[in-house]
Amino acid sequence: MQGGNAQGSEGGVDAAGYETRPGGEGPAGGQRYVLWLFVADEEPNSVQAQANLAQVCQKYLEGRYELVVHDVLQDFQSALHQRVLVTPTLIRVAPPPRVTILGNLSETDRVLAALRLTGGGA
Amino acid sequence: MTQLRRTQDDEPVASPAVALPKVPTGIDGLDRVLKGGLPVGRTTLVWGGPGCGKSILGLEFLYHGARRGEAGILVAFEEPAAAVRQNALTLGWDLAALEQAGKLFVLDGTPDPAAVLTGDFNLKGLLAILGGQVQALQARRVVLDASDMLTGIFSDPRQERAQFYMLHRWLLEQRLTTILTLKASQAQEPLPGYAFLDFMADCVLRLDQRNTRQLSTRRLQVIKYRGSSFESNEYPFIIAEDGIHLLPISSLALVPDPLGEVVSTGMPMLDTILGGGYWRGSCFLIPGVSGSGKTTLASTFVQAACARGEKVLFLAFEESPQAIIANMLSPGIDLRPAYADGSLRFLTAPPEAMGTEEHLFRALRTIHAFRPQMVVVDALSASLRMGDEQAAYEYAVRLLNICKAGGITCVVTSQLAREADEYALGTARLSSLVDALILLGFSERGRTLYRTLLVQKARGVAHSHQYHEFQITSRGLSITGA
Repeated sequence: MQGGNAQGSEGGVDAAGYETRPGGEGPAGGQRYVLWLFVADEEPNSVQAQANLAQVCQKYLEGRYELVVHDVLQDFQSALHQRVLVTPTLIRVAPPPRVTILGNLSETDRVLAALRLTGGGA
Repeated sequence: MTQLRRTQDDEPVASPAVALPKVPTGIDGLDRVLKGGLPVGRTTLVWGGPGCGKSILGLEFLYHGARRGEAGILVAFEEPAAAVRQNALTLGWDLAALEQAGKLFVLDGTPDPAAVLTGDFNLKGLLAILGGQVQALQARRVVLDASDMLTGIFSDPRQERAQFYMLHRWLLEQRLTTILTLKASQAQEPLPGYAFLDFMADCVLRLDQRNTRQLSTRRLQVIKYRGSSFESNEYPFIIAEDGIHLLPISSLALVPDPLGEVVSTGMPMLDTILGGGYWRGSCFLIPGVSGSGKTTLASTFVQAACARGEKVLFLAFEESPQAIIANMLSPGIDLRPAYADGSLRFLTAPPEAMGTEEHLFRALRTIHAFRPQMVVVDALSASLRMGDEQAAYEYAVRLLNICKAGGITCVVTSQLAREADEYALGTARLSSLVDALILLGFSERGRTLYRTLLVQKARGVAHSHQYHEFQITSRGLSITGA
């Protein structure tokens, strides 16, 4: 998967005001990931998802990711804009294509595959 | 808008200690079946197979509410929001305008087919969005359309059930009047694993669509209504160009006049041939070739009925009321006064204009509202143009049965291509429903053409098997001899 000068599908500023940058060359030579995680406050699955995601990011995306956590109970508008009906939901906004992962991210292999982090990275 | 209805024996309908508040749906005929409407602040389930009309029912509920100022939210799990708006437009419902006015919100809940599932999750996102929008709009109504699509993403049935309960509890807490629509299986049963929903909901409606040869009939039935009585029959309904219309069949059985009264056809000689007249509520079939006088004879019946103060509904498939009335003036039949005072009503539509089901529905709906003592169909053979012979036959059978059940006299004309074709349009099959057949035709004697009339069959009255000659004079039909 080529990154380079490819534009992320959501360049600019999202509805919640967070800046998103198109995927491009990151400091480590891999692509820069922009991830949005939608949680429901401190409910168990959401807490687990955050923990699992933190691990994945630390291990595979050190220094080249940007994570935004939306609490749907505080901010339903973001959930509405992204059509997130289920929590937790992880959306890989960049690099394209957009990927949606539902659940507490406990199945690491699936998460990695979905995020295209296996096989030497995308 | 709860209506108190008393039965014929004047027994009050048993009511619970606290009356259940209901909200009218605004859907034609449905609120009567529900005895007021849907339970306020509670969940109603609507089951149905594909194409049964459950999405339209839910949407119509929101539409009427929105137009009355009560905001609602539609969560569409099967169709994208744009498609929902587009479909609504074909029914004449401008959803976008209501959305702009803050009376409606359409949430696109179509699941992402490419979404990856990794571990447990729940529907709190949906609840958060719903909660936010309910507050923003002050919404009181919610419709979750094709909810089975949503819960389909849960692989574990226990999870799925738990999520439904969570959703249901939340809706109850918010006191939202909710409709959940769900797919039924081919056998019109809830899909396995969803039966628990029937226990959860306070009201359950089932829609189905049955195809009997050429005619497809949609039916609605109230399966359950906790805390309320309801009409438990199956009700046929159609999806017309402006929404759903139910026909409350039970009320058609009300007969204002006693059966068994013998009345006049309007032609004394014909009365004699029939043995004094005919029983009110009889069914006459008048087959004949073109020009044989069918409409004139039917109009004679009409005039006699109107003279008795009866109401007549004339279903005309080929000519306009004005043309028919004008044509009948020369044989001395003046329908103008009856037409003017409303005792004679016409329902006209070219057979090709709509499907057989809709033709029938319009006729039945008018019969139900107008309550005529007589229905005329001129000409039944035209119903062939609705589709095919089978459809036309079923139209006739349904119409005649309903009229018989209601004690309504039927006078049905049928065009024959040739006189020998008296068995065209399954006249033979219809003859078992018909009380008397009056075959009109022509006969030659020397070089003169005579009009003939033959009463072929009659139930309950003596009749004559001879051909009678008749004339169409300026003072009506006159039977001149055998």
